[in-house]
Amino acid sequence: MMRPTAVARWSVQIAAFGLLIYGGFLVKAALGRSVLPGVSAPAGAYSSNTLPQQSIAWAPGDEPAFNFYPPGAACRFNPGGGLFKACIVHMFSENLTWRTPLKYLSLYLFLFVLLAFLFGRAWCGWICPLGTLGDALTGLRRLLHIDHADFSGGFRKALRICSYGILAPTLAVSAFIGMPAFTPYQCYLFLPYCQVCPARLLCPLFGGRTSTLADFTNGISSFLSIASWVVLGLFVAAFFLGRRIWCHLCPIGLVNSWFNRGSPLELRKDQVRCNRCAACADACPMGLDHVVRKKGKAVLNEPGCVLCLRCVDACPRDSCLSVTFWGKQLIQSKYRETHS
Amino acid sequence: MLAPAAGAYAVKGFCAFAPGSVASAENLRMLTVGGTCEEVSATVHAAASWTDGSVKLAEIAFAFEAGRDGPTYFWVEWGSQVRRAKPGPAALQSLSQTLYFEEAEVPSPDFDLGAGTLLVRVERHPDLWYYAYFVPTAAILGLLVWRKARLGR
Repeated sequence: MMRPTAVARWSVQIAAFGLLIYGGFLVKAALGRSVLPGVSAPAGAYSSNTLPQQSIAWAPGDEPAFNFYPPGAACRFNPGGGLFKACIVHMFSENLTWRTPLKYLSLYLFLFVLLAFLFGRAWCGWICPLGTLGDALTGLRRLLHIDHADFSGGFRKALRICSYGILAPTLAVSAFIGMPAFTPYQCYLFLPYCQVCPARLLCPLFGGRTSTLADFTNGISSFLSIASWVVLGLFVAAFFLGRRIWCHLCPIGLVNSWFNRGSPLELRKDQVRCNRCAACADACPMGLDHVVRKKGKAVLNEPGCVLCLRCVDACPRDSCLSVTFWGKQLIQSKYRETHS
Repeated sequence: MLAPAAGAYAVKGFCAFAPGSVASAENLRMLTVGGTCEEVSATVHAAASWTDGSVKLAEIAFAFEAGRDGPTYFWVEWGSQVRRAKPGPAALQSLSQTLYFEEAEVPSPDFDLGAGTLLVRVERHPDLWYYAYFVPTAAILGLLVWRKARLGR
């Protein structure tokens, strides 16, 4: 029997998945046009629309319904342009390559910062379509009665360091190919993370588009095509066996995590009521145990926490764990005999 | 909104040249970037000259129909073989706003001093709306840092 929070989360995840993937068709049909002007590529520079059609990082000229970059993995390669333009890593990448003046990005940065501040990594736990697909894989594993793998805290920390190791070279390569002397490399390396991102492979597939699955026209594109399939394999294996262990590696989640601690959406613990049963740690899909481990801390928004509220659901103690927004309580744990 | 209104603008800017590279203001013309690289109707005169009479600083003015998105690029082409075919526009003063070149850069390092092209980037008139969004962004980031610091104690 699913708890109300789980029902709410799955409902939001499925609705968000549909809107993010198919919003380009649905919302644009309702609005009749895209909202907000987009930042366009300067003359002579590549964009996701001007790359050759067979390139794996190619969008067929569709404008999104809302032309900005939200937190969470809103993929540029969604069919029909999608609901939003792209993720934050895509935004940094393309605008570093285009050398867009910061003033043109001010509105987009404001919207991203506002939304990331308000909801922190709840974007990862409730909205991200990759997370939704991953949770479906986890559900499949449970149906097959296969145990999930446990990973140590050190391994999770190493993954987080690796996510910096993905983000930093992505931005460096994007800036590098934006220099006039290196623009010929844009046809291979434009949007470097998108080339291997699982969302770039999966999102167009849900729209029935297969042209972006692989490109074997030259050595670099062949290498990137194979690399993207290897990454997709790791993605499936990570979600299937390790629950949301992938989310520790995701560079989009990394950027969102900078806003998690300090966000008005807070996971709180009443230390007096906690009996350290560790039901929260068992339930956490990110493999975190900070909720049971931390002492004397009321707010538990760790960078890795995706605010999925499974810990609140699992906690058997009345009012021990709660979630608040600007201090107003939204949900709290309830007594259950089965876990006491 | 983010982008100022599209429309007609007068564009004015200066380009500096090395001694002897541009003999006369007539040896300099503006071209559109991309496509057929068509000449843009422009007024050019030497705002300053070198002692050998060549152009030191060329003032270039032309009319420009702006779209809504991003900056626009032009080539400035010069050389003894270059002749400006189109005369300058007659009524620049009647246009809605005046824009200025933001930068001019040499596209390749192996250009000939006596003949070549400069890439000119035309920015729109500074628009306060662009910068206004930095105020709430900074406020939110400040609030985030303050709340993090408060939680850390």
